[in-house]
Amino acid sequence: MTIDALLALIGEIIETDPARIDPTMDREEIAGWDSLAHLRIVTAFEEAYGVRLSMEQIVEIRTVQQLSRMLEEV
Amino acid sequence: MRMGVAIRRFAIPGFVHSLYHLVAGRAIVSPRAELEWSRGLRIGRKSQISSFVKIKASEGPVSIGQRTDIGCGVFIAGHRHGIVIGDDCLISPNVSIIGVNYRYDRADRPIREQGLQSGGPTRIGNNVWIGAGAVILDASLIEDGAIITPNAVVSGHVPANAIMSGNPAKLVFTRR
Repeated sequence: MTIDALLALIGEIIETDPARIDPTMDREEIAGWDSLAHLRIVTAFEEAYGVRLSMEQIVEIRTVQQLSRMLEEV
Repeated sequence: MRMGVAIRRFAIPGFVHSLYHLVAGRAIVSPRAELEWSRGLRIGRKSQISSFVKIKASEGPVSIGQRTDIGCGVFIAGHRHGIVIGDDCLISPNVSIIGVNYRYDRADRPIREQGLQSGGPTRIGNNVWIGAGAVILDASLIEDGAIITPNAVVSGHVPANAIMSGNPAKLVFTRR
C-alpha cells in the first residue's frame, strides 16, 4: 500500500485535498481530523485493508505515516 | 393541563424535590431543576440532576438509574410506555429524550388536536454517554456502553458499544 492511497482515503473522509496532508504531521494539526474523524479513518482503513486494530493501536496513531506502518505490524 | 398535573409541576418548590431525593436515594437534584411530583419518577442512588433539567413523569414513568449524571437543560418527557435510563450514564447538557410523538394521520385537522402516540418504551442502557444537544426519540433502544455524539438524532436501535453520529444517527465505530 502506498502512502498516496492512504492519503486519498483520509482526504476523502476529512474533505481535504490529499496533497495538502503531510504524512508526518500530527493529526491534531490537520484540519478536520478530530476525534470522530479519527474513528471514521480507522474504520475505513480497516475495511480497505482487511485488518483490525486494537484500541491501544488506534489511540497511538498520530500521523499518516504511523497508520501506514500499522499495516506491517498487524 | 389538568389541575393535578399543574400542582405536581408548579406548586412544589424545587428545594422540596432536592431534599426528598437526597433523603430517599442520596440523589443530588438541583433546586432549579423542574421535576414533577409523581410516583412514576424514580431517581437512583447517587445520581445527579443539574439545573434547568425538566422531567415530565405524569403521563408515564421515568426511571433514572444509579450514579447517572443529567446535565443542565436536559428535557425528558415520559409517556405511556415510559423512559428508562440505566446506571452510570452521562447525559450532557441540552439533550432531549422524548417518549412520545404527535399523531398526524389527518391533513385536514390541526396536528395538536390529533393526540399523542408512543411506539414503545424508550430505553437507555448502562454506561451510555450522550453528547450535548442530542435528541433521543420515542421507542429508541440504546444498549450498554454506547456513545451518542453531540447533536445526533437517534431513533431505533443502537447496539452495545456503538458510537453513533449525525441526523439520523449512523454507526461510526464500535468500541472494542
